[in-house]
Formats: sequence, structure tokens, C-alpha cells
Amino acid sequence: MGRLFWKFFLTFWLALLVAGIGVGTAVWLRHNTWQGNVDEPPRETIDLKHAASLLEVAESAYRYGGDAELRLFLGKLHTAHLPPVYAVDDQDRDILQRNVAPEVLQQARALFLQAAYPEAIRLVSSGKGQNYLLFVPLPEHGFSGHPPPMPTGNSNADFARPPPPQPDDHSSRHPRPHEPPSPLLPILAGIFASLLFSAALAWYFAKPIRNLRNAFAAVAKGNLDTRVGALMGNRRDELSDLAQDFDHMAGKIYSLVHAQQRLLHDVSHELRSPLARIQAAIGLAQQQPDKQQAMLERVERESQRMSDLVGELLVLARLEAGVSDSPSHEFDIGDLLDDIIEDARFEAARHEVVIRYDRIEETLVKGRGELLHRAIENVLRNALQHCQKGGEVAVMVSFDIFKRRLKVTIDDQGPGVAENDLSAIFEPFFRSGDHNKADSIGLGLAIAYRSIAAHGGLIQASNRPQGGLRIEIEIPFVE
Amino acid sequence: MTKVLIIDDDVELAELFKDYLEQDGFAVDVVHQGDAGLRLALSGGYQLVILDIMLPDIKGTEVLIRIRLQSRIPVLMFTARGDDVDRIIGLESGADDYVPKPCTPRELAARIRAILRRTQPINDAGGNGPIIAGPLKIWCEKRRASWFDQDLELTSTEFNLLETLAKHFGKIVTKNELSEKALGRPLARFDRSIDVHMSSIRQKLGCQQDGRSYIQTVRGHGYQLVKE
Repeated sequence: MGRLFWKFFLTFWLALLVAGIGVGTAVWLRHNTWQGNVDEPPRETIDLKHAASLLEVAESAYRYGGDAELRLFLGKLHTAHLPPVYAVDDQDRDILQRNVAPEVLQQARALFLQAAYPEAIRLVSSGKGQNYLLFVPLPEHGFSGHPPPMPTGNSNADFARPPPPQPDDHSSRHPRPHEPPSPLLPILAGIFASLLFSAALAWYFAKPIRNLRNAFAAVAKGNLDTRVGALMGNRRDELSDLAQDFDHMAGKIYSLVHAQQRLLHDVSHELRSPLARIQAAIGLAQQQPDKQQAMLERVERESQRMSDLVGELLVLARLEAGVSDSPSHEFDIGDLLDDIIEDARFEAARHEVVIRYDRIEETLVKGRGELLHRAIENVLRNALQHCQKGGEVAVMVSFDIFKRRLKVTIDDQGPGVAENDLSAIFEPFFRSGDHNKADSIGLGLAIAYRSIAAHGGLIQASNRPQGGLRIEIEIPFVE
Repeated sequence: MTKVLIIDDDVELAELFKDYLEQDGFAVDVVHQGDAGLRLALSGGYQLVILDIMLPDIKGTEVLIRIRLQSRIPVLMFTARGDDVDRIIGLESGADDYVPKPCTPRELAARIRAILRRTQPINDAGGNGPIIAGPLKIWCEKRRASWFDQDLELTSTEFNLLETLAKHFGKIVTKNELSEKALGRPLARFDRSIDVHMSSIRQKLGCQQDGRSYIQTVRGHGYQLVKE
């Protein structure tokens, strides 16, 4: 695991821990505040005036509605979360069967006898001799005793509620069922989870980078067929894009290096053939002195071939490297074509081939004249070489005004090229099977391809339906 | 007159060689295609085939393999100078020797003579009876060899190598000696031809019961036909 893994890991972990601690503290603080509030639940505060009016209503309810109406009213008070009004008869029983602590009752009776709080404690009686002591146990009335905690023996579920609030005693009213759980466990769990999560995340980032790094090292060592795309699995993000780019790059380098190696191989082979002939000619000249003159001519021809080959290779190498000796300038392609055709007529006569060409108007093209000259000449000479005896090579020029491109089409009446080889003919040293080695160097079309490409043009080959090869050269023109 | 077939697609070069060799006393035919060359080589009308490794239709090594399926005619391969892979593949496929290209025609003629010399019956073989070296019997005049009374199919170079080893049965024969006797030329530096031929003989002889080869390599020295 590399440094990057640890950096990701530690950063994420730290971030998670800080976030966890922050959130945890906030929650804890808030929870504490809330608990503090719980200790003092909201209550209906009530003063003497209220108590008096409650009692007034209760009394009227009893007077005009009897037991039932009083019970109903007190029940309503209860469900409306208003301070309770107790109605205790002579036998110390509450009308709602609520347990009233004897001390409270005693106090109430005592206060009633003293007539200390006529507003909060009063006695109502029905005509049948049934008396109820109505009172609201307010602290300011001097009630200090404990109210009954739970109503007992109460069949009515409506009243199964906690006892009336007793603001003077907080702790005992809300007893904790058990101690809060130790904070150690969640903290440990949090640390463990964050460790696991950070490690997974760091791994998720660090692994593809490590794969890429290994791949780069492999390519640097020369294993150009290294690919990382497969190692990325189903990943779809910037890293997998990077891996794809890497694969693309490795593939490109591979094909470039491969092409270069093949070129080197071809070059050495191409140089070897004339050398072999020169050596054979020298040997023959030594063996048969009467053939010396012919052999010397042969040696001259072969060394000329080698010289041509090296020259063409240099051109090709310069084109590939994009190095130019001459600046780009504007010239008339009509003149250029005229020159090329004029030069080629001599060779055409040798091959017993006719060139058909209609002059074109002056058309300016920007580029390097000698390169374009060489390109078109190579294509034309290729056509002449492959054209059958007595055949015709046609050179046609057409214009696309909108795209500002002109197209030079060169048709021959030769055997054509196998469909599979139509793009391969522009590779260096490509030869169709039946073609004689001595005739050409094998770089003409390759040079043409590269110089047309250097002019921002396009060159492509196709077989004509009526037989023979067609090569189309497309280049932009100025006017 | 010794008839030689040249299979090479370089028309001019083949004509030059033909010219030279004819002056040197060989009858030479030239073909430029692999399949035509294969047909002529198997026709039985030639004593030696010179085969280029680069041919337009079939690869030279492929032609050689097909020749070897039917014939033991001596084959001299043209290989690219410096291309060891071609050379070793050629020798493994059963070429008798190779000439790196470009080469002088004199060198070519010398190689041809060396191959022909050793494929001709050697007169200094002792008596009429076969040379017997363990399970190996060699009839020099007939250029026939048997191994555990089974006829051995050997190329002429392989035959010469085995013959030399059999004559020195149980003794070490240096690589240089083997090269002189079997290839007709002194051992060149980094020349692995002897080793390649030897490994192909080993395959034909098989192994002893303990898994060792009948022909033992004496590192840095030479080879030895093991005497039990």
C-alpha cells in the first residue's frame, strides 16, 4: 500500500472522526438541554381567581346537575389538562375515586374550617344531605402534602393518568427507569466503522492509481502490450477514463513502434538486395573478365538504386517528422500538373501507355510545391507501371467550390489491388504479389500519402468497376 | 554435371548466381516462386537446392518443411545476414547449411561444394561392413544408418555428424572437428549450426532409459556418443 493510500485513509478517517465528534457533541448538548426542560414540564399555572371560578362552576354543576353533572365536569377538567378540582364527601372519598392523600385532605378541611381560602375551598351540599368538599390544592393555599401518586381501584380508564403535577417536587415525579447507556460503546463502534469506511474509500482510490502506475512502469520497461482497462472492472469515473486513455496511448505507441521496427526491417532488406546483386556482379566479373563491362554497369545501377532508396527514405523520414526545408507558398497547380504530365510522357511511351489529361485553369494552392509535385508524380508513375500495355492512364481534376477542395483522380487499366490491401498500398515497401522488385523502390505511394496529409489533404485508393486502380487525391485550394 | 536448383524471387540476383555457377561447372535452373520450386525440388532431377527464405508466395521455411516430408535432398538456405531466428528455424526445419545474404558467389560455390562433398560417399570408411556403435549401425557407402535395427531418416548433415560421432564412439569429438567433417568448413564464432543439428539428431534417437540422451554434450568442448 502506497503513500497515497495512507494519505486518503488518514484524511478521510480524520474527517469522519471530526464530523462524528462534532455531531455527537451537538446531539449530546441538545439532548441535555431538552432533558432539563423535561424536568419542568409545561403546566397550567393557576391563581386564586381561576381556582375560584373553577370551584364556582363545579358548585353550580353539582347544584343543578347533581353527582352526575359534577363528575362530568371534573372529568372534563381532567381531559382538558386543567388543574384538578377534588370533590371529597364526608367519608373522605373523592367523587372520581381519586386517591387523595389524607394529609392533603386534612389540610383542606383545616383550611376550610379556618375559612382561609374561601375561593379555593368550599363545601357544597345537596338537599339529600350529601356534602362535598370542593378544593383546588394550590401550594399558596398551604398544601404541602403529597398527592396520591396513582388512582387506585379506578375502573375508569379515562382517569388512569399520572397524578396531578406537584411543582414543588421535581426529582421524585420523573424517576429515571435506568441509567443512560455508557457512551464508550457507540464511540468505539463509530471509530471502527469510520476506520473501515476510510480504508475502503482509500483503497477504492488508491488501487486504480497503483494499477496505472504499474502499467506505466511496464510500458517504460518496453511491454507495450500492457493494458489496464480490464483491471478497472465496472468502474465508470475519471480514473477509468484515465485507464482508457492510457490503453489508447499504449496501443498507439505500440503500433508506432511496431511500424518503425517493420520499416527498419524492410529498409535493411531493401538495402540488402542491391548489395547482394553488387556482390554477385563483382564475383562474376572476377570469374569472367570478359563480362566486366556489363557487370560494372550493373554495379552502377544497383548503387544508384541504393542511393535512390536512401534519398527517398530521407524524404519519408522528414515528412514523418514534419520537418520541412522549404517554406509554404502559393503556386498554380495547373502548371504543376502540366510539368508532371510532360515528364511522365517519356516513361509512358516506354510502358506503351497513353496519358489522357485535360488542362485546367489556373488554380492556386498553398503548400510546398516540390512535395506536392513528388506526390502526384509518384501516384502517376505507379499507375503507369501497373497499366497494361496499350492501355490508358486518365488524369482528371474536379473542384468542390463549397468545400474549396480540388480532387485529382488518376485511373489506370491495370490489375487493381486486392480489396484488403487498398489502404496498405500507402505503407512503405508494400508490393502487390506479382510485381517485380527491381521496378520500384516501394516508397512512392508512402511518400505521396504523407505529403498529401501534410497539405491537409486526403488520398485514397479504390478499384474501378471496369478494372484498374483509381487513386483520388483531395487537397484544399486557395482560389 | 551436378544439377542445382535456385529458388529465389530476386530475378537479377538469381541470374547472376546462375551465370557464376554455370561457369563453375554446375548446371543451374532458377525459379522465382515457392510452389514451382517445391515441385522441381521434389522432381528428383537435382542434387542440391538453394532456397531463399523470403519468397513471394510461400515462406522459404515452409518450402523446406514440405521438401523434407518427402526428400533428403541437400538444401542450402539463403538467410538474411544477422537474422539468427531465420537461420535457426531453417536449420531446425532440416536445412543442411545456410549462406547469409548478401554473399559473394565464390562463398556460395564453396558452400555448395562442401555440402556435395560430404553427401557423396566417403571412401575412407573402414571395410565393407557397417560402423557399429552400440545400437547404431552406419553403412557409409550406402549413406544408410539404423538405430536398434530401425532405419534412421537423417539429412545429409545429420548423417555426417552421426557418422563422425560413431567413428569416435565413446570419445569426445570437438565442435570444430564436427564442423570440418560434417559441414565442410571450420567452426565460426557464435555459430550454433552444430548444436541445432545435434538437437534434431537427439530427437530422432530418443532417450536412454534413465532419461539421458545418447549424445552427451561436453560443455565448451564438443559432443560424445555415449558408450554404455
